[in-house]
Amino acid sequence: MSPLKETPPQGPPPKPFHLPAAADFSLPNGMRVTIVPYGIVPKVAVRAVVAAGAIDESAGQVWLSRLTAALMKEGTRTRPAEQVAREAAEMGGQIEIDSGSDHTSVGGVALSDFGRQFVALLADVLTTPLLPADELPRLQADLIRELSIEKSQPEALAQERFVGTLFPDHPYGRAFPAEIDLQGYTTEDVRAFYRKNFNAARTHLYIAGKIEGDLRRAVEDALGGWAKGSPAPDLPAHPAETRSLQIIDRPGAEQSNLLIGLPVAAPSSPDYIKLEVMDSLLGGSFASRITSNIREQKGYTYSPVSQIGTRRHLAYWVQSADVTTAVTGPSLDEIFYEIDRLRNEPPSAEELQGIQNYLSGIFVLRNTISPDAIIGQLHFVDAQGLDRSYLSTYVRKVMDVTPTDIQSIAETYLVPSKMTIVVVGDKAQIDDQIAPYETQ
Amino acid sequence: MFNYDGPMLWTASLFHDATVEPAQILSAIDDVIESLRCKPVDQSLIDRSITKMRSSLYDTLTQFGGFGRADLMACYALFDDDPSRIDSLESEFRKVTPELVGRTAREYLRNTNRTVLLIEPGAALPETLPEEESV
Repeated sequence: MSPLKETPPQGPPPKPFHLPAAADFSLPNGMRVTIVPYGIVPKVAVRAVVAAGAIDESAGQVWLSRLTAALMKEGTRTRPAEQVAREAAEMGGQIEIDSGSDHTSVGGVALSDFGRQFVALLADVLTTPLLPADELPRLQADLIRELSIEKSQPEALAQERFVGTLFPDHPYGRAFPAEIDLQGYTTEDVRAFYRKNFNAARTHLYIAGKIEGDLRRAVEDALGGWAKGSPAPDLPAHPAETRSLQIIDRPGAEQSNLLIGLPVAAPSSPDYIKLEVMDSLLGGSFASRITSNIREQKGYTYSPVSQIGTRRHLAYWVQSADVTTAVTGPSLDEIFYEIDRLRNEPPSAEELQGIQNYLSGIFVLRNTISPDAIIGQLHFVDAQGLDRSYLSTYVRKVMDVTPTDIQSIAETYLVPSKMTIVVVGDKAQIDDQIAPYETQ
Repeated sequence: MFNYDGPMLWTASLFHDATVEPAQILSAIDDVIESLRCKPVDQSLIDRSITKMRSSLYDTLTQFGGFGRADLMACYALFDDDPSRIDSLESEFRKVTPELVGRTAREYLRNTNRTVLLIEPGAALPETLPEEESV
C-alpha cells in the first residue's frame, strides 16, 4: 500500500451546529412550548419537562419525587395503566417518566403518523394521573430494593457523601432516603407532592422530529385547560468550597473509590465553555492527562473520568477513579500533580487542538443523534437561562479557546485548598497512604 | 437486531426480593413462554409488535448519527451480497403470522436449551475455589 493511501486526508475545520428553526410559544395558562421540525426519519419526540424534582423535597421526603414519578405511570382518571401502555405501543412508542434533581420529565418518541394522538395521551398522563393507592406498596417495595442495591455499591456511597458535603442543608445534598422514611410515604403524600409541584406554569413542552399534522393545535387542545399554578420557587444552593477529606470504611475492599471536586462557574458564565475544554483536556476524555497518567502509564485504574455536573444555575467539577487499594495514595498524588501542572503551565497548542476537535465533533454528533437529543440540549439551554445562540456558537467558542485560557481557568477554578475529597476503601490499608491529604 | 447472521442469545435478567424464590420467577416466565408455544397469539398483538419494530428500526437507522444505517447496509453487503435488503425489512415484518410465532417459540424457547445464572449475595463459596493469597 502506498504511503498516500495509509495517511488519512486532513479533515476540514469543524463546522458550527445549526439548530433548525424552532417555534416557541406559550399557552394562556403559562405553559411554554417549543416545536422543532428536525430530521427525515418519521418519528417525533414529545417531552414535557416540569420544574419539579428532588429540589422540592423536604429532609424527610427524599425520593418522594421518584415515588410520584413511579405512581404517575399507573394510569389516569380515564385510562388504566395497561391502556396507556397499549395505546403508546400502538403508536410505536412508550411514555417514560423520570425525576431528577430539578426536573421531572414525561415524554416519549412515537411514529410521526401518530403525533397528535401521542400528544393527547402524554397530556392525559401529565395532567390527570390517577395516583392509585393500591399500587403504592409494590412501587415502594421496588424503590426499597433499588435503595439497597445502590447502597451496596461503593461508587454510590462515594457519590452520596460527595453531594452531602458539597450541598449541606440543601435537597441536592440528600442522595438517599432512610428506608424507614421511604416505607412511610403515603398516597396522600404523593398526591400532595403532585398537586403542589405539577402545573402549567412549571412546565415546558418540547416536540422535535418529523412533524406531521397540526401539533400546535393538538398541544392547545390537550394542555390549554391545565391549571396554571405558580412557578417553581427559587431555592439557590451554595456549594461548599472547603477542603475536606471524607473516608468511608469498606473493610477488605480491593479497590478505593475516589471522588475529588469543587464548585466551578455556572453554565451562564462566559468561562463555562472554557471550563468544559479544560475538563476534557485534564480528565474528561479518553485522551486526557489524568487518564493517560493513572490508566495508560501507571495502570492504577481502569475507568478514571472527570466531568462537570450541573444543577440549576450552578456547576461543579469532579474527578472520579476506582483504584487498586495499594495505590490509593499514589493515585491521589498523580491526580493533584496533573491539576497543579495545568495550573502552572499552558498546554501545547497541539494537545489543545486535539481536544477541541474532539469536543466540537461530539457536540455535533450528540445533537444529531436523535430528536430527543435535541430536546435535551434545548432544555439545558432554557433551564440554565442561556440564549439559544449557545448551541450555534458552541463550536466556535470551543475552537477559540487558547492554551493560556486553559491555564488561567485551571488556576482560577481548580483550587486544591477548596476541594472535597471522598475515599471509599479499606481504612486499615489506606489510612497511612491518604494521611497527607488530611489537612492542608 | 438485524445486523447478524447466526444464532444469538435471547436473555432476560432481573433483581428480585429475597422473599421470592428463583423457582417462582422461572415459573412465571415459563407460563408466558408456554402460552406462546401452545396458543396462537392475537393478530392485534402482532400488529402492535410490527408497529414497535418499525419504530425501533427507524431508531436503529439513525443510531450514532447515521452509523446504524451504514452498519446494516454493510452487514447485508457482507452476508447477502445485497445491501438493498435494508429496504425490504419492513415488508418482512408484515409476513409474520400467529402460526409462525408459535413455531418459532416451540423451536427456540425450549427449557432444555436454557441456562439459568443466579447470583446470591452472602451465599457460601464452593469449597473447590483456591484460597486467597495472603498479602
